[in-house]
Amino acid sequence: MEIGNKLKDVRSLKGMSLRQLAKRVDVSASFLSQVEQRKCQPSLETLTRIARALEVKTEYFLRDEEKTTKEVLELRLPNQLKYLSVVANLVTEACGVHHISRKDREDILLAVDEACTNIIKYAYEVGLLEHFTVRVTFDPGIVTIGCEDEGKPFNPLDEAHFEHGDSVEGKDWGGLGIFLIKKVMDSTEYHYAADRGNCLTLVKRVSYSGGGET
Amino acid sequence: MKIEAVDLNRSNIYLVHVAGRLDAGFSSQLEDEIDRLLEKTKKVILDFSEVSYLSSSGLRVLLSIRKETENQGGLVLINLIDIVRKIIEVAELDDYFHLAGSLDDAIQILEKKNT
Repeated sequence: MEIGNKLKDVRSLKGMSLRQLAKRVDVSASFLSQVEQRKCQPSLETLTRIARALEVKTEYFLRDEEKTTKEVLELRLPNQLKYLSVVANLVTEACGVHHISRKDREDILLAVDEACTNIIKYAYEVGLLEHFTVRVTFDPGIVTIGCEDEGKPFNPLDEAHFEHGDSVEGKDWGGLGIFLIKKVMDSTEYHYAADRGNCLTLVKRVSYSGGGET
Repeated sequence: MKIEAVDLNRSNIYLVHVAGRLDAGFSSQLEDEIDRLLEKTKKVILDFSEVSYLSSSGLRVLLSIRKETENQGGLVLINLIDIVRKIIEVAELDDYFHLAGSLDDAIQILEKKNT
């Protein structure tokens, strides 16, 4: 996360308006707003005053994100299609919290939806209530989706040999979901673990929005 | 999910207003409704202004409607929101469907195909 997003987060955590903070730091509110929208960078001296006013260490704004902890969201869901919209809403909200750009958010949403659909439709015997896990990990610049089910060992990535040919007519569209996942994500990987079952990992490099985008 | 079909009283064209998330949970509902409609007409306009999402399951339903209608009428999609249009593009099916900007354009496409 960049200085702008960090500043916005801490400021709302402290319940301080732009004007209140501007007064304490002795800069204009519009300057702070521009910093938050990443339209300009404060000098180190100003950043130190901002940090003091917000009662955080200056280092917090400068810290190398690669070394900070990753944030993980884990969901355990029943294998029922009605929960697809629940996953979608949650992932959308979580990406919003992380200021992930709209384009990347939509890509992630599509991949998660297709991956969950596959599990719900094919992992377990029809009619049996089972559960599966979706894990969303937020690293700086990277979002990783992990889907785990305890169904029979099955690699969905192998299954899909979907290609657009000259004639779309009469085509078997079975692999369309995986085709979409592969197109919108940067990497896809499958393995089977004795203790966790089928593990599908989807990775997406993401960009962040400046604040104006919703 | 809401699906409403209206006879436009013009060249047997039906306008179907669809609202909701067209994911795997609701695609079969759309398929059932359209199957019933296809007994009456093969000229269908789908108004997607209130479709907030489209998954591969939804795309498969659209492909099957297209296949059913192509030779005797046609399928035109109108008022697609950005994310829905984008998913059709990601699937590389944007050249495969008739996408129109307005109802009038959609009617024109279907009437032209008819002559």
